[in-house]
Amino acid sequence: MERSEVEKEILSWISSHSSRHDGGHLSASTPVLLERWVTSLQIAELLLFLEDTYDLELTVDTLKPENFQTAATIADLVLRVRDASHG
Amino acid sequence: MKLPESLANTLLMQSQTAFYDPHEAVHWPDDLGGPSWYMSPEMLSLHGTSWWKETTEQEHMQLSFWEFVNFLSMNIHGEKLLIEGIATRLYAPSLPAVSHYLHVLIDEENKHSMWFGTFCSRYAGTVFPPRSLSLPRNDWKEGEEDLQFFARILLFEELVDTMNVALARDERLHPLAREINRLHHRDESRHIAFGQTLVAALWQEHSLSWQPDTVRKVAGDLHLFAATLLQDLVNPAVYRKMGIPQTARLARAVLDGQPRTSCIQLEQRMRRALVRAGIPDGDPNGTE
Ligand SMILES: [Fe+2]
Ligand SMILES: [Fe+2]
Repeated sequence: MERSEVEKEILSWISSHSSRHDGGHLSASTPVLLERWVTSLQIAELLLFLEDTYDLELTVDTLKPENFQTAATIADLVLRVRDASHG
Repeated sequence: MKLPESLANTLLMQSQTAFYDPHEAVHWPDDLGGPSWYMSPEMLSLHGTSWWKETTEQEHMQLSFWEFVNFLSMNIHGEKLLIEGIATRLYAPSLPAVSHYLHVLIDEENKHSMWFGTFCSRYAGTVFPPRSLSLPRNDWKEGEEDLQFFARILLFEELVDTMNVALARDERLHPLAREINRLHHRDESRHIAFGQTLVAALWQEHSLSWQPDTVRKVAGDLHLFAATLLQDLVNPAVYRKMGIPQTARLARAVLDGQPRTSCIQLEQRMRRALVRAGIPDGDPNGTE
């Protein structure tokens, strides 16, 4: 699985689920929590998207704000958990 | 602010009359016995789905057990946040008149969580972890933090209590499940009366000083929160326990599908509690 591909899919989920309609720029390094592209109320839905799309289980120890800071850190998390579980 | 001091005093007296020892209140059997319902079948997340049609009643009962464990787990995590937030607000200058009742709330919620935790650990061997992330905010408007806290607690309690009442009444359920729901409802009806009045007072006090845009956003946030709370009733961890494959895909399909009647009713109950407190159904995008 290509890292850039994962980032792209995550960015596409964020932009289609975001309630920000002010035309701000969204990239892999955009602080999506800080700038409220993703809100705390959307985290559960985002988790399901990640678990479903990448066939993984995100355990409670992965649910830290630093893992969800940007699309890049979310992609890191996905790849880390996938590597650990798929060997 | 017109604080619900007299109400707090009345509820305090009622709590004193209803005071109980949590260790004595529930009898815990060594095991739960044969297959049984723990939630009403119509409330289960997979009720009416293709999975439901292809499986046996015994499997439906098993699902009801794990969804009850999920419901109790959700209660535990909600009550943890509640106890934490209430403890922070004891003797807060912004809420001068109600501190004594806040002590009672902490005591009662702690007892509830003891029951829920006992059921989960004893019979399921697990409490499902929360699937949320708390994000600190530093841009609260005047009075908004207290309002958001108590309004969210009110929504949580309204949701749980509506389910408690229905589950306690359902004669198909295992007696222990009915009993836990009945006991919880006994205390929660007081908490909701308190929360409803406090939230109305806080809203009246603070929303007047906010810009119309803030009023809309805060109201929108809370109505959105009500809808989001229902998502916690659908947990892939439950499906994993059932041995169902592709748990996250199934959870997404359930959440994206036609909402169950029980969920529509629960959401209506929660939203009505907000409207009763004077909080209009506002901007669906909210701020958070
Ligand atoms: Fe409670
Ligand atoms: Fe309560």
